[in-house]
Amino acid sequence: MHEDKLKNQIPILRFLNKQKWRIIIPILFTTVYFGLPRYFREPFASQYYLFITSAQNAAREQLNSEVTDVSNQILSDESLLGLITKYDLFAKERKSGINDKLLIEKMRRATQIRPDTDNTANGAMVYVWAHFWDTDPQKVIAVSNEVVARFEEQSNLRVMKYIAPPYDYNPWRGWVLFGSAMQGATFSLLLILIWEIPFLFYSQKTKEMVFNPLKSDWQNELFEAKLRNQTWKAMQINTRYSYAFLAAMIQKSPIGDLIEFVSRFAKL
Amino acid sequence: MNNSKNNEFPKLSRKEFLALGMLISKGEMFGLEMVEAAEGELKRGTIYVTLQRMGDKGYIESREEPRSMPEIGIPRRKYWATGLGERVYQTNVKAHEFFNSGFAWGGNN
Repeated sequence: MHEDKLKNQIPILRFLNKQKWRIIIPILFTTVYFGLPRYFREPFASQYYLFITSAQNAAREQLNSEVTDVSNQILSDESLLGLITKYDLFAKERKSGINDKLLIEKMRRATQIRPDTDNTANGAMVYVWAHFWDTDPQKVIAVSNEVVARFEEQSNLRVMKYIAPPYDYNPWRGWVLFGSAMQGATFSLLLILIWEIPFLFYSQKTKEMVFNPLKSDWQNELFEAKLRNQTWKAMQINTRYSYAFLAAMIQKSPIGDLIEFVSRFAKL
Repeated sequence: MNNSKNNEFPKLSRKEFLALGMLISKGEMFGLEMVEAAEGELKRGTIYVTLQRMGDKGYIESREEPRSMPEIGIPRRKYWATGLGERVYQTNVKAHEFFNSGFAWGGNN
């Protein structure tokens, strides 16, 4: 009944139906094992809104220029490198010998200062945020506090700070999950290809008389080894049968026929 | 043409000779049983190709042996020698004995 149902399907559906577990299992595995941890991965972040006004009632343009100057100073290459060294940030990357330019670029992405000087009537709003992956949270807080302190140090600025609400630091999470699923799909394609090679290039008769009995023995021996918890033996069996499968494939190929012909000829 | 082919001496290869000998002396066997009984002379990667070739020549026959519960998986295949296979094997045994006898070596003795 099931066979009849399969036969009535169009070829691609029949193929997918037949191979469904070899497609579903690798996709599920890579998505759950690799994708989900990345999907739920969050950096540690510390962020503030700074409301800045002029201590000397300076003109609006003057205030904007002073805020921009301080921001630029904090985000300069020397200043960022100084922060990296002071708080021992990106330790892994530094150990691997990454150059300063890339390191500064990473730091600039991790520590951001966004002045919003146009939309505030009496002063300037600056959004400061520091977010780092796999870093000690205390260091992250220290970085954001130091950035805020650089504004506070300015005698001509009056700074009020507020803790800012959380932000999605992992906007690519959906794509990461999709990427993991695609890795699984690629793996399943390889798996299907390896498993199906004999049936793509060899006749139905060869499949029934050579490859199916070989697969059957493989399953049999592997099942017995697994039943006895003989992990090493199971690995040996897998290696031995992979080789046997390859040997059978070669023998049933035109090369094998040629070898058979030559060896028979040599015996005459 | 066919006649001349049929009149050719049905020489068995070493693997065919071994496998056929086992099937004649022990009766029905699985491929893996033959590999284990041959103690290294027959390999897992070659036994089924050899058996298929022998089947094509009519020396052996086979059938799928359905697995009995609780076994699951691809059914195993059981093999046995045909009448033709037995005759070919006996002919090969005799030929082997003849070529290894003193008569063959001694010529006129």
